[in-house]
Parts: sequence; structure tokens; C-alpha cells
Amino acid sequence: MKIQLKPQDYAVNRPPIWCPGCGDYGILEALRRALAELSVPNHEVVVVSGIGCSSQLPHFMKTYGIHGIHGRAVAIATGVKLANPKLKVVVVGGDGDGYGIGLNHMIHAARRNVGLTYIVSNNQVYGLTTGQMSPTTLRGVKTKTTPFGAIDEPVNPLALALAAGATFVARGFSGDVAHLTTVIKKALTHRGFALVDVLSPCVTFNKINTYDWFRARVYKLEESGHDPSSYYEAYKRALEWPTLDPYGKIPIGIFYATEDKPTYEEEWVKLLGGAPIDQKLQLDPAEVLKAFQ
Amino acid sequence: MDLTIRISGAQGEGVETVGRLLAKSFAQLGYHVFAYRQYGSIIKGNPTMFYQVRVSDEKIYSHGTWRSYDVLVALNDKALQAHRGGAKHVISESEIPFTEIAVKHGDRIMRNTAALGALAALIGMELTPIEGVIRREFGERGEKIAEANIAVLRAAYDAALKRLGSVYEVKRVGEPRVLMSGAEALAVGAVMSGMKFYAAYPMTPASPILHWLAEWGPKFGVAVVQPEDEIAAINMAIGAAYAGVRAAVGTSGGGFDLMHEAFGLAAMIETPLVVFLAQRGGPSTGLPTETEQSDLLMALSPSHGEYPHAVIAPRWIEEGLYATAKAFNIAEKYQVPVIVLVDLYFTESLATVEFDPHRFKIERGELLQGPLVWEEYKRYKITESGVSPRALPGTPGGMHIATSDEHDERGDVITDTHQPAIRKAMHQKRMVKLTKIVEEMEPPMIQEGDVVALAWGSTAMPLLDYAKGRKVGLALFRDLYPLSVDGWAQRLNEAKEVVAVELNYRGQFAEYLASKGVKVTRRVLKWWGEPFSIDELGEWL
Repeated sequence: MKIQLKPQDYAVNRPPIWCPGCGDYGILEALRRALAELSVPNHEVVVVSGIGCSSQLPHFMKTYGIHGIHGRAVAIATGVKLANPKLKVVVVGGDGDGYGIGLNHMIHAARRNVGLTYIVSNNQVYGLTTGQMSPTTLRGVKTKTTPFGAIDEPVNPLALALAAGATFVARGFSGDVAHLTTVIKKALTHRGFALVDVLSPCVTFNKINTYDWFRARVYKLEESGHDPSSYYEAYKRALEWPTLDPYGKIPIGIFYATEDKPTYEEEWVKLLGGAPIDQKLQLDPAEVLKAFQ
Repeated sequence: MDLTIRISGAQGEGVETVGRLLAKSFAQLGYHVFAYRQYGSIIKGNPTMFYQVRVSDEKIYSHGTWRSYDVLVALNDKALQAHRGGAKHVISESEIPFTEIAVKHGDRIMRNTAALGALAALIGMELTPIEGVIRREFGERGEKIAEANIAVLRAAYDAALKRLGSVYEVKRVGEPRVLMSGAEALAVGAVMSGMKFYAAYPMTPASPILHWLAEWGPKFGVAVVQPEDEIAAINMAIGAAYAGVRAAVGTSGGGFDLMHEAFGLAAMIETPLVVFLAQRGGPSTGLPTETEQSDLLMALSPSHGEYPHAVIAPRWIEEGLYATAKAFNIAEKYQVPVIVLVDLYFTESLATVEFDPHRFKIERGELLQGPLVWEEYKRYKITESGVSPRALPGTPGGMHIATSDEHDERGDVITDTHQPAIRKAMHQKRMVKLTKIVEEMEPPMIQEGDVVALAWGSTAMPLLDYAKGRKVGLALFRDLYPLSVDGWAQRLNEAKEVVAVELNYRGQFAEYLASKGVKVTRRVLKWWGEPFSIDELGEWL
């Protein structure tokens, strides 16, 4: 019998240490709600993060968790998922962690279709290190390290994920927790790698991309006739922002979702005849020595 | 009998195939075998690479001598010029027309097989074991190729028997022996130790571990992943270990450079991990295909900060099997990362081994079975040993966070405020593990003598052969860190001369021992891409 859980069941006594108004509160609430709606038992959830403000999130979840090193959360989570595919593995981190130092791991997890839910708190700035340019900072924006305005073209994480073969690509907005909850819930039940990029304002260091800035621009894909089963349509939508018009409309919702690819952990289970965690430790030495006959 | 055969030719000319076939055939006949390969970082070319196969009816540990050998088989003129000086007997195209025989009975590409047939005649070895090995090796690629090779082998054998006769006699001396490379010994040791996850990015000379595991690992329930880089490899392994499976990575110095940060993560979140570090000439790309022991100081302290870990350097190939078992046990019992420190001479050489399955005892340390009371469970509980009972994901009530930040006993991050008392206690809790691990570290293997040759890791191999029947002392170290300093240190300090024998420029181990109060009076060092050989040791010691 499944016990219906409440968002509070995933909370710990310790309050988050983010600045008041930080977008990460919205992500935390949406993740707890989504898990509660699915009622995933606490002990079957592992939340893995890197380093940065948003990477503190696992500390505020009553689940298993690894608060790892900068940029490597996806690689760590891949190991967790392969070792024990029964676990629900959620990865959380920021845009610097995931699209800067750790970008390659996202690309490779996407192409392998590892069954991870990867939630990126995208605030377009480095917060914990006090306000430097991030890989998603828009051109022209002034930060501590771009006092004359950024001249770097921002990355487009959704387009990258699609190009890499991600089977679930979505964007949410911290300012709309109800919508974000539905997106994360779908990501959690998705078969394979799911990227949820979340527009998540930094109220301290990013005075450009504010809640109001986003509210004026976001529109919901599900209300605009988008077909998430079409790879090409998804790609077109992914290019809208920031690539084609960095100050234009920003689609949120599910860009692309397909479950017609096997996951990496499924492939390993097939090859090994079971998950690594379920394998017997003691081997028959005669079987091992066959390799040397 | 103690016979050394050097086969030389260009890379791509089949030297390695012949060398391996020969080594396997000798092992089939019950001989002790050691085979070493000298080659360059090129796929086709380098006309003078060689494969040295040494066989004996007694236990041997190394390739033997460098400048002299019983038989040279040269597949081309440059190889002949380069190596003929050291050989008692030579087989080359001018003695036996390899090419003509190969073309007539098979294909030009089988020149190396012709050379093998001629060699068999010269050393008085019957063809049956070689043919058996050929059928198994080539058999997969097709029976026809195997039979053509055998036809070439026989024709060359007959021609050589007529022209050169047999100067030795190679008979069966016992039951077939198990022949494996050092890399394979590590891989076998790992699967026998219950490893279920291995991640590695290709890099010489660690790749052969990956190759064996990729082929055989899945049969034993091991997921063997080739990730995008070494950073991903070690982080994946940490994730897998956190989830509860025994996990390892393998790399060489340059790849390990990239792993340092995560190595510290494993120590900080107290997650077991084994790293196979196979050294080659450094720094930077260095000598990609040649051996060296210059990563010792790195292995002693790879990541920033202070943390507990262990370094174990198996001294001979057979020991690779059991040193690996020890590494996995220490990693899990103390929840620390452990380095198995080897080198190209170790991983790529072949040796016959005694395989004793009873020497693999899996000790997983303190693993909690659920359900636990979440409110009470302290993942990083301070204990006398520094080890805190571990709950694996999936255990009800065992939920906790493993964080790279300094944390309290619950695992909660403390770095948002200044917490000197917690930091003091938690750092000490981790470091105290070293005082327990050191109790499991074995002293060096000591042989008394006025002059003591002191070495670590694979340099023990030529030293053991050199010391056989000689009045030379030995001190051969395997368990390098934390170093158990006891009675042996005094015995060494009392010796007339203690000579550190190392494959590096600085004498890294001598420096390390000096910091422990052990005096080294002389250093015999080599850093040009060759292992030590018996003849050199005779001159230099």
C-alpha cells in the first residue's frame, strides 16, 4: 500500500539559507510538491548537487543526498543511478555548475539517456561567489567580471540538450511554482534523462533578470499549441530564447518528451542480468579463471 | 633451465603476437614465465621494438637481463642491428627465409609465425602447445587463418631444424600455469573482491585493466563504463560507491591529475573508492609507453587539504591479485579512497601466477541494515576509530546528506557560520582513521645483508631475481601509506649500506623514508623509460 505523502514530509527542521526572495525557494517547494504528489518514499530518493547557492538544496530535503564538488553532480548521480536504478535520482545545481564547469557531463548524460531528473536553477549569474558573469548571462549585461558589459554569447542549454539527444527537455519559472511542479512531476516520471531549466531570479546579484522581467516575457508552451513529441518543433522553440531574441518572449513548459529510447541503466541491467547493487559478491574462481584458458 | 628470448621488429610486424603466443606456450608446458614489452607511442613503425620472454623451471619475477639474452629473433634488419650484440643465437631472415615461407604456405603477413616456427626448432620445443595456442587465438577469426598459420609454422620449423638444429631442449615440466598481465591481475583481484562498478577513460598503461574488465566484467555483474573524461570516471565511481557497490577507477598520472579534487571528495564524504594508478614517464604526456615510478609523492597527497587515504603498491604481478583485495577492504572498512600504485612495467608485463581463491575475503565494514530512526541517525557519528556506520540509499530512516563542505555528525553543512568546535572534532574524526589503517599496513619484506637494496612496487621484481643466490639484503615495500614504522626501520639504520633503487630522478621513496627517520646511504636511480634489469643491478649495487 502506498502512503500518500505531503510536501512537508520531505522537509527537514533546518530552514534554507538562501537570501529572502531567492528563486531557489520556488524550486525547493516545487520539488517537494512533485515528490509528494508521486509519493516517492523518502529513502528511495537521492538528491545530488554540485557547488553554488542552489546546490545547497539537498540539505533541505529529507532524502538521501550528495552535495558534491563543482560541476560534477551529473557524473556522481550517473554512478548512483547505474549502481541502483531503483532509486529516484534528482540532480540540482546552478547555471555555472551545470552549463559552465560541468557542461560536458550534461551533454554525455543526455546522449546516454541516464535516468536522472536534472533541475538547473538558472539565475544567469554566479551568486555564491558574489556576482560574476555566468554562462547564461546575456550579452551586454554588467556584472562584477563584466564591468563594461558581457561580450560572451550565452549558452542555450535547451538547444544543447536537444542536440545531445536528451529525451525530456523543459523549462520552468521559479515565480510560478504550480506550473513548475507539474513540469518537475513529469520529469520525475520520465523514462530517461530529463532536463528542467528553471528561470530562477537572483535577487541580490542580478538586477536585470528579475521576477518582473521574466513575468513580462514567459509564455506557456502547452497553451500555444506546441507538440512536445516533435523534435524539430522543440528545437525551434528552444532557439527562441535567448539565441534568436535575448529580450523577447520566453517559452516555458515541456519542449520535448519521448520515451522510445532505452535508458543507460536499463541497458546495463540487461547486460548484467540485474543491477550492480543486486549482484552476488562472491564469485566462482573457476569461472574467473576461464578467461585465462 | 633459465632461457631468455628477445623478439624484435617493427610495431605492426607482429612482434607482440609472437611474444604472447610464445609466453602462453611456455606456460602451457608448466614453465614459470615473465614477458616484457618495450615499445613506442606509435601504431605502426618503430622498427626495433621488442618482446622479451624469459622462462625458467624455477620461480622468476622479472624479464632478467637487458644487455644479454639467449636468443634473438629479428624480423627486420634494423632490429637485427640493434639487438644482435646481446644474443648467443640469432634467427633472422638471413638464417631462415621467413617471408618466402610465409608467402608459400600462407600469407606474407605470417612472417612472424614463420619466425616463431624457426625459434621453436632452435630451442627444441615441440609444436603441439604452440599450435594449440594459435588455434585458440586465431580460431575466433576463422579456422582457415589458424590452419594457414600452422602450415607456415611447421614449414619454418622444418627448415630451421635442418639448417640450425636444436641448441636447447624444452620439455613439459608440469601442469599448465596461469599466465596473466599485471593489469589482468588487478582486474581479476577486483572482480574477486566483489567490485561491481568500474569507470575509466583510456590511458596507457592503465587501459589493459579496462580492456579485460570490459570483456569479462559483465559476466561477473560488473558495470564497466567508459565516460567522457577522468573527472566523470571518478565522480561516477563515487556515486556508485555511495549507492553501495564496490567501485574503482583506473588511470595513469595525467588522468589522475584530473581526479584529485574528487579524490578529496571521497575522503570528505567518507565514501570507499579504489584508484588503480598506473605510472608512466612524466611529467605531462611524458613517456606514454615507458615505465617510471615518479608519481609516488603525488600518490601520498593528491588532493588539497588533509584527509585519510591509503597507498598500496603490489611488488610483483601475483601480488596484484591480493593487494587489490586488500585495497577494497581498507576502502570499505575505513570509508576512504585507496590508491593501488603500479606502473607500466607492472601492468603490461605477463607472468605466470599461483591463483589462490582463499585469499579473497570481502570485509565490507560497518554497513547498517534498516530500518533506522531518521531523527537519531548520525551518518558521521564521532567514534573512537573515526569510522561511522554507513546507511545506503534505499535504507528506510537512513536519509542523510553527504557533503563536501565541512559538516556535523548528521552531515549537515556548518560553513554558513564559524564553527571551530565542530570543525575541530570532525576533521580529527576523519584523520584519526590513519592511526587505525596503519595497523593493517604490513612491514617491508626484509632479507638481511650488509648492503640492503631498498625498493617499492614493481622494482621488487628485478631485485628479487637479482638477489637470488646472492648475499645482498633487501627491503621491499608494498604498503606505502600510511607507513607502519617499527622494528624494520632500526634494522635498516643498522645496515652498512642502504641503497634506494627507484625509477625516478629524485629518489622519491628515499626522501619519504628520510622524513620517517630511515636513512638511505645511496641511491640507484633510472628515469629513461626502462625497468631495472639483473645485469644493471649487478653493476650498480
